[in-house]
Amino acid sequence: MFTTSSAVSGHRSGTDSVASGPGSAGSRGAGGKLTIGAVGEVDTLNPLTYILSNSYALIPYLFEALTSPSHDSLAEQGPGLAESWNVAADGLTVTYHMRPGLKWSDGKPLTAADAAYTLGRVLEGGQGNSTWGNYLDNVKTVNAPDDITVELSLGAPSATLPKMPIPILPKHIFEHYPDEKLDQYPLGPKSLVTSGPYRLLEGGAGSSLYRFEAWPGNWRGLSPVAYVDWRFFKAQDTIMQAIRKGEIDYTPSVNALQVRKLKNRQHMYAGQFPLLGNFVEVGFNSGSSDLKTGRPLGDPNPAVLDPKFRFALSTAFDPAELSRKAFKGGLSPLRTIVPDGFPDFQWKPPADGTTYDPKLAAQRLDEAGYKLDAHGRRTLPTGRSVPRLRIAVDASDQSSLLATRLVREWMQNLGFDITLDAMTADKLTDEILSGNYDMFWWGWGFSDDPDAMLVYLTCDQRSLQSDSWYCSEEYDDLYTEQKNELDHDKRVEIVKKMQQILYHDAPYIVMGQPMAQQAYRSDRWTGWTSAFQPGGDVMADVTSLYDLRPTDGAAQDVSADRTARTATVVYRSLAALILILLLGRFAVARWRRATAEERE
Amino acid sequence: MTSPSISTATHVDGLVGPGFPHRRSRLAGRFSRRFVLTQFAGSACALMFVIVVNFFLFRVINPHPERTLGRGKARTAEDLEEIRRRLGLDESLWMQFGKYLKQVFTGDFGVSFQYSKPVPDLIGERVWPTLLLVLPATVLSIWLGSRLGSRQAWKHGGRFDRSTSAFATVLYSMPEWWLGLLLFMVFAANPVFGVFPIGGLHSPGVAPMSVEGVADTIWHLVLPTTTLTVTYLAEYSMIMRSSMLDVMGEDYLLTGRAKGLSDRQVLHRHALPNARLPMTTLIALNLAFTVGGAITIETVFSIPGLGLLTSEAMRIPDLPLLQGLFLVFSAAVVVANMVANFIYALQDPRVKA
Repeated sequence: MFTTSSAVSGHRSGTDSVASGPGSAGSRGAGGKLTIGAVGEVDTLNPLTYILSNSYALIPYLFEALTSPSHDSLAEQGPGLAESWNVAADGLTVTYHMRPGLKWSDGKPLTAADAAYTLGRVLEGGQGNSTWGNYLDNVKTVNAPDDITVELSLGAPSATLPKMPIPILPKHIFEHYPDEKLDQYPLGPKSLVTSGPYRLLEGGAGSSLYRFEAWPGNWRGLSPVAYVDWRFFKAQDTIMQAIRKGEIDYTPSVNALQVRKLKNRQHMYAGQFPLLGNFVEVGFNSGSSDLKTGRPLGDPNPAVLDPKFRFALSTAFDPAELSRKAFKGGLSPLRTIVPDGFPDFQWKPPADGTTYDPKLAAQRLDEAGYKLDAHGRRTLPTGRSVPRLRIAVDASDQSSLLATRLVREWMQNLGFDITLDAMTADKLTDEILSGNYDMFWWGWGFSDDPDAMLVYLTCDQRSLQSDSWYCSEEYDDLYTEQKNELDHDKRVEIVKKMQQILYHDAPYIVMGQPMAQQAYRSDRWTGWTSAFQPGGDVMADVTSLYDLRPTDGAAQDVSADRTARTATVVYRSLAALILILLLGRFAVARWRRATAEERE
Repeated sequence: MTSPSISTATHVDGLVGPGFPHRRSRLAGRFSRRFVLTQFAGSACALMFVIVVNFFLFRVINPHPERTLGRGKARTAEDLEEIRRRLGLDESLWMQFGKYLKQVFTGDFGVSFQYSKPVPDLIGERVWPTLLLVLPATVLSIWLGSRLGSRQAWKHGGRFDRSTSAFATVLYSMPEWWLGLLLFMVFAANPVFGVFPIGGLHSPGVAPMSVEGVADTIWHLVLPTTTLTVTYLAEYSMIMRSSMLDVMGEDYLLTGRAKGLSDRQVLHRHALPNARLPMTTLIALNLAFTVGGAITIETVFSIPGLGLLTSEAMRIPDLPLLQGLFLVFSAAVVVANMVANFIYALQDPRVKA
């Protein structure tokens, strides 16, 4: 499953920059307008209730957090509303030191009281907790001893702190909107009180257009990009045409084939890069059960419950062919659940576990008791034929569908009868949590710390986020150990051990790291800077946008407004034409009547 | 001259007679009480059926929307339970049904799971793009289709009839999204002919209610409206043609001609009014369907209408939103059907018998 909250590392976008200091309003004229095109929609800009990743991309325009994403690494964080922070030696207190003199867009002071209120609200449960609660694991209380200090008291050390990307909310507004009234929270352009580098000028839930205007009161100062327009389309093809035509300047929503088409065009950059916090996998039902009664749940195939069966399939699928045929080259090698964004923590499996080797897979299946019968079909260790397997997939994702067809083919070659069940994502989630599946193809994405992924394979996550129903006491113990371990090197060793366990128990067979694609017009903006890796995301975080500079064309900002002007000119001409035609028709009708009367 | 077509009859059983209040409008006098009651009772029953089915239908498709909403979020059983509680899914089905009925009759419809916004507000915002897109296309296609169909029939068998009938058949069989894509590629995306915008409903930074904004919105709607008009008009022209051919052999047309009326007068005064009867129901229902939007065209041209809102709501599934949307769609069709029946009765007195 792809997470939708704190996941999507590759598509966060912001378009502000600080070429000059606070109050340098003169830069606005030079900033022009940056237009970003994306697929999908925004469900809400309320940081406590959003679901979709597009909302997650837009919320940082409006709300600041104590820390902000680092330009250099997924695992690090940079300053935000907090200039600095420190963790006590025992790990039980984390203190953030906020910048003095911060303000909300309505002029009220933004202080530690706002931060303590927001974190406290998330901590106490409700909607904010299910969205952001994982950043406050082990935290017991939040205090604001003065206007610029926020203090977290912990029950046990937490290795994922001090990273704190929870958007800070205006206490003087949100305290009037408890959870049961959150749907009445005013999200309109005029009423929204914000602290981010932009103010909302246009756009609401599900709009196709969001317009932001640079706000000088942000701690970074006034962005030289005066306006940022986010346009949401429903199809990638439309976006490709929009960037070709110059209606948009940047998009993270093109696919690998479109990148090939766009990359040789003049004044256009198009490329792809590995999503450093994502992976795709073949997952298995490792033992779905009713957690209250302990009885089996759903109808898994007995074969997939056996770790030896699952492990034997580790070399049965060819990642290179998957990349070539299903992902159009957009899948980079990865065989563990910790992706390249966290290199320290990444465990490298042995060579015979990473190479495509169907013979080895067949041999391991034989050794595990899944032998071929006279008809060339695999049998269970009991001697019975392996019942027909099912592999489920989200039907809306073309690459996943193609990948699953390949997996089915490889399974058939090994002597298994297998069917493909394509369904909607919500149905897939439901089937998984009901235990009515054997295998599936899906992916995960996260951006902050390997812990965000490691937790999903603990026993407590069964019937919640665990899509494999995997449970291992040894793994769980190691999970708790790493969570409380503040020594980086020791924690790395524990995390590697956990990956080793997963490799052998194989609730997932990780097939690779998907690529993200992006395209931008180099004739309209210069200074595009990649984050995390060469050729990487140019809209990954605020810092990378500080370098953006408009060319003369962008500064004069033509494309969309030109459409409006064209429309006006054309319609004035059309109105004149219609008037002439109507007058003509009236004249002809009069003439006809006159001649008819004459005839009579 | 007598025409069996429209509204010359004034005697209607039960409405005009001794003791009947004279302040009743002329329109009311055209329908029998039984006819009116039957129509209203039938529509009310249909609406009640829709209201009940509406509640259970989406719960059968996916009874656990909290699982989709909690994906990547709910990390404890309490989190998941909290989502269920917030959405009101922790209550028994009958309790939920009772609340739903109350919401329907108070016009509340609840808060969208996905957008955290009251359902009526959401529908109110998204109905305008849909109406702006589909209503002009429907009206235009009715007008053009009727004219085309009547002309084809009036000169049936001729070159105009043969060529336009074939063309209409092609248009009728053409998927609207395909035609939309074709127009999009040529008149929006093409570097030479692409004078129209790529998508959306208006340009950024243009006040929608200003003269420039209105012109800009119309400019954005040219391609999608043209697509829908062209694909819809085939249906109207084919039905009008066939209906006209039916009435063309009638004696009253011959009588009209014998009285010395011109062809044009025979067509407009006698043939067309009778040929329009079968169109009435079709037009009324299609006008009702306009609120349902056109998902494929909304997708091609990125117009955030009710069609796309429905498809987004299906993803969760967003039960309050789906219930609200389908009730609006169904109510529109039921009401339109009832209105069509009244208009039909006005046009054809035999219906009132």
